[in-house]
Amino acid sequence: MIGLIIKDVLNLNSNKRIFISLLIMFIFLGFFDQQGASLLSIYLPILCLMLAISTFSYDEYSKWDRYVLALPLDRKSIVVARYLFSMSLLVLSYILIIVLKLTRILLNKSNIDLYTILFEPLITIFIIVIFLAIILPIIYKFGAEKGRMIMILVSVIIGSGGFIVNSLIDDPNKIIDITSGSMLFLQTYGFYILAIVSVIFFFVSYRLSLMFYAHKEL
Amino acid sequence: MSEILSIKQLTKTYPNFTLNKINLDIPNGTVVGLIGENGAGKTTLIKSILNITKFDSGSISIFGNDLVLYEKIIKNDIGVVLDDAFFADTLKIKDIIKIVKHLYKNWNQIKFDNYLTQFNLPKDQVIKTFSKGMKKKLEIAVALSHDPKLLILDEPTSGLDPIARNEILEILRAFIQDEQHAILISSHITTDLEHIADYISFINNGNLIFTKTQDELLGDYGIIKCNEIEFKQLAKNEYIAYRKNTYNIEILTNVRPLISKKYPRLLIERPTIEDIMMFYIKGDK
Repeated sequence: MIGLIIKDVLNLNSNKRIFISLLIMFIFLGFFDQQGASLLSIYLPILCLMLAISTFSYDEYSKWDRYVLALPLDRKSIVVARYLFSMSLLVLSYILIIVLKLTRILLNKSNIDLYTILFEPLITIFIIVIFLAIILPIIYKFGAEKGRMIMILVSVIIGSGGFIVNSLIDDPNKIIDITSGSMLFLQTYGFYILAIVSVIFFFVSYRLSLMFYAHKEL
Repeated sequence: MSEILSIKQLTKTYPNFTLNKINLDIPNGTVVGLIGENGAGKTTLIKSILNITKFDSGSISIFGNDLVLYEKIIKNDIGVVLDDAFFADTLKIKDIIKIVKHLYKNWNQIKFDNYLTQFNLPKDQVIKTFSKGMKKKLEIAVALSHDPKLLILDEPTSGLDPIARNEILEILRAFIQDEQHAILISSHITTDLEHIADYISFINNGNLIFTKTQDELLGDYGIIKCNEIEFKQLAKNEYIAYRKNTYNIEILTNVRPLISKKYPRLLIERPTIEDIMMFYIKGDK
């Protein structure tokens, strides 16, 4: 299984220039833009999502997905390796975000606010976990190309959903009242709910991927 | 002589294609060449043997063990070259080493390095820059470097020039020197198989038509060249297929000794494997 993770790392490494320039751009934004620090905790996990999905495209393009099934591996370890790799990317991005945030604070000599440093980035990471949890079984079922199309569709749905909710909050008729009890509940426990939902999604997603991949024919 | 690979009644059905009750044995120390036109079922058969494709019924045993039950253990002793499927071509050989040594339990780095030297393959260059022959040689080097007992090769020589093809056949000949080894090789370049295969298995439209030694093929099969009147004297069970030309009729028979005895005046030529294949596929019955 370790060989499969090394394979993903090396595959991405062969296109490192694009990813590194994206990373530098995000870091640059993170340091010089007022909102940059928050943007960073959004963009880095999104970059990880893109990387995790692009590993499937590499495999499909070189027909590695067929070759790997001829190797002495069971299908379960192939799926486990992919989930481990995706999660490792997110953990790395989390660590990187914290390091960058701390560096920024030290450079600006501002106050350390543990909540924004440790918890704020987790919100995006949990959302990305949910996103990955949806997309991975779809890729296992339909392949990377169709998976990518579905991912775009899901992004549009989530994006426009967010936009609608946002405009409802801003609505003068107060369709969603942020001072209402339920909204306060969400503000207090939203983070924990999101964490639990992402963990549940992750495990359901893993089981689904295993099921789809067990019957996959290439 | 025991079998390295034994396939019994293997069936796999797709909406518009069926691999139909295939029986095939590969004894130790032999090379079995799988022939058939594109889409005849060669790749489906190979994918079933590797459990890449799940077969519907029948059984496959390799090294005496059931494939489905002992898949992982069995595959440690199989080397594969699949048509086109390999590592991403943006990788270098040194990258592949880092990966593959974790994938095969008995990866033999010294052996692999020897192959690289023998085939003149650079470790530091991305595979994308390799010629087709170089890439195929690399695939074979990877397939051979974990000391496999069985090699399964899907079209390893297709698209290669005669020199590269010969080099690859040489490698395979060296591998089969060990009596405990065996090779299953599919190819539509039948002359390659004439050079290396002990048995020829012909698959057509999902059915295994025959598995014969080259001697049997050359001894039993013949192409009769005759006229219409002579053709009419032949019984239905004395030939397999015929082809009417402008001036004569060519007939493929699989009972050549009988024909020579019964009709001593008939002209019978030795067929090539390609001839036999062509008659089965294109000939009139």
